[in-house]
Amino acid sequence: MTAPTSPWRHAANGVLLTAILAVAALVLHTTPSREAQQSAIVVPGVLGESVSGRNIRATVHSVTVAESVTAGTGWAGGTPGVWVVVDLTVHALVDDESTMLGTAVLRVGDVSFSASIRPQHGTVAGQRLVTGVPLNGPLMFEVPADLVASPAAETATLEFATDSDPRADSLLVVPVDLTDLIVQPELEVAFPAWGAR
Amino acid sequence: MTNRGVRGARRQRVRVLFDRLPTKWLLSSVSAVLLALSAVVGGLDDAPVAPVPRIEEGDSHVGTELTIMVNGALLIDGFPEQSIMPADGNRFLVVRATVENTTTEPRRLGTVDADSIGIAGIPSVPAAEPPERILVIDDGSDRVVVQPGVPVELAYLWEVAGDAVEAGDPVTVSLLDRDFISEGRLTYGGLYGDPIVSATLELALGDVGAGVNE
Amino acid sequence: MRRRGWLRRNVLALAAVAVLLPATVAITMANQWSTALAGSPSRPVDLAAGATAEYGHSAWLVEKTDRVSASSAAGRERDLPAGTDLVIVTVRVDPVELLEDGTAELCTARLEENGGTGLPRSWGSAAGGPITLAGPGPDLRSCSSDQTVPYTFDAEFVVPADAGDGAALSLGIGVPTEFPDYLRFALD
Repeated sequence: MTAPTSPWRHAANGVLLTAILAVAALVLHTTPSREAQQSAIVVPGVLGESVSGRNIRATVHSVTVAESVTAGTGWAGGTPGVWVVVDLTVHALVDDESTMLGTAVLRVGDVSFSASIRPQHGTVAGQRLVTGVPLNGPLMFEVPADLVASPAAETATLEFATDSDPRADSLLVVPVDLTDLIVQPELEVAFPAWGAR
Repeated sequence: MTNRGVRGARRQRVRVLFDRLPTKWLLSSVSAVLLALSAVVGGLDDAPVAPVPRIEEGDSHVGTELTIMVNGALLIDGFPEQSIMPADGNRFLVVRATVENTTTEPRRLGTVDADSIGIAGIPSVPAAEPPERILVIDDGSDRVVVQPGVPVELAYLWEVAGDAVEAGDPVTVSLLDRDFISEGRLTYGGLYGDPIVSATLELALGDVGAGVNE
Repeated sequence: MRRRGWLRRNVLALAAVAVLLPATVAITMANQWSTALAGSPSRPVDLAAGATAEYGHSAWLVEKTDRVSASSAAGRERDLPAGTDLVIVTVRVDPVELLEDGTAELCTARLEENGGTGLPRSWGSAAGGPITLAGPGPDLRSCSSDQTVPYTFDAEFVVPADAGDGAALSLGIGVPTEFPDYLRFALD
């Protein structure tokens, strides 16, 4: 019926097939993983300066390590480890409908610690935020006693976000050097207060 | 032409051989071969399940995510200082334990499911009932997040009928491990199946009446 | 020669694909977004200050707006945080129709800031918010379902002192059954 296909035609088909397979392999290997698709948008910050995300602005004023902490509510929690106390100012930027400080994490190496909610209203962890009105108060992290001197504590980071699920929204990351800090025997912190410092 | 002839003859021979197979007996002969193979690898009985280890009070048990040391079980009327009181006629059964998180993420211990400590053998408490509350003994707070590497003393509370149990009654405390299935596809955090019992203890209940100051 | 023949033979199918493919994508996206947008206040009805509007089962009017600074005597009475202002908007509600069970409808009030150099901001009412204000405050802070005659309520908002600088503040009144429409009264 038709003329027989020449060997050149077969070769051309083979090359086209290989090219399509190569493109498919490339697409398959470069598709972002679910972690990459849903990852938080990291905003790096510096200790002492304000860092802003989409709906959160935070300033870490100081970081202290103490063996015992007394909060402004009178709460004095005991721990077999030590307390890393962060003095923080935080506020929402555009919207305060059910906006809170949902994520407050201290990451040392590959271990992460969440800000303690044992002091309840004595800490700003998990507290609701107001657009443009800063909330000033402490965060307390319960960590093992030997963590502060460990090598990974030099590159520890603090992470803040408005939701307890930090995916797909701004995540503020502030590096801190815990090895620089002296462990104090006791520390008293103020009750969280609203308004400009 | 001659090639086709030789190939054709070979095909004929193979076909004849296939015709000679006893198809009536094919299924039973294959089953017999498989049974013989299973006998070689141990037979058709269920594989023996390792029994759950029994530990004593004060022993530290290392689970997949938590290392738990149970310090005792007792009955108490309530915790009036924390405004935690049971319904009329009921009391609290408290299991005291020291829990340490051996993973790299903080672990929230909630009361929706029993996934760290469970009790059994108490008449008014159904099987796999989660604790009513979990409290930190040090400050009485009921928001328990166990940080990695920091052991914390906890009190697990179950509400029991006041006349169903008394001091000296035995209670079986089981230490549970979470059964990780996969990372959530849309949800944040892992998906877990039913908790697995990794150790049990038999304790005799103490009774502190109206309670000690804690 | 063969190539042109194939195109000519399939021009109808190709035209159909060229129309249907973008239409499918557009309709699927509209489907997903419409349910999300319909359930939230996303379509503002802009109104000038002093205008009356019929919305839901009631008629709405902004009577007046007060702004109290934290450093003033009135601000100190309410324990306003440093660097903030208290915006008090008096809203007059006329429950023209009552709901089936004889109650008036409820509403949500939000303060919006638009048109400035920064991003638009919004605030929720101080009544349900985390900042506790001292003093008795207004009698009615939001819509009340007990009222059957025209009444007024005072919506209070704690805002930073720079709210409204170079931008316009407006009050958003939303009734959940009327979403996505909501009223946006310009405040003077």
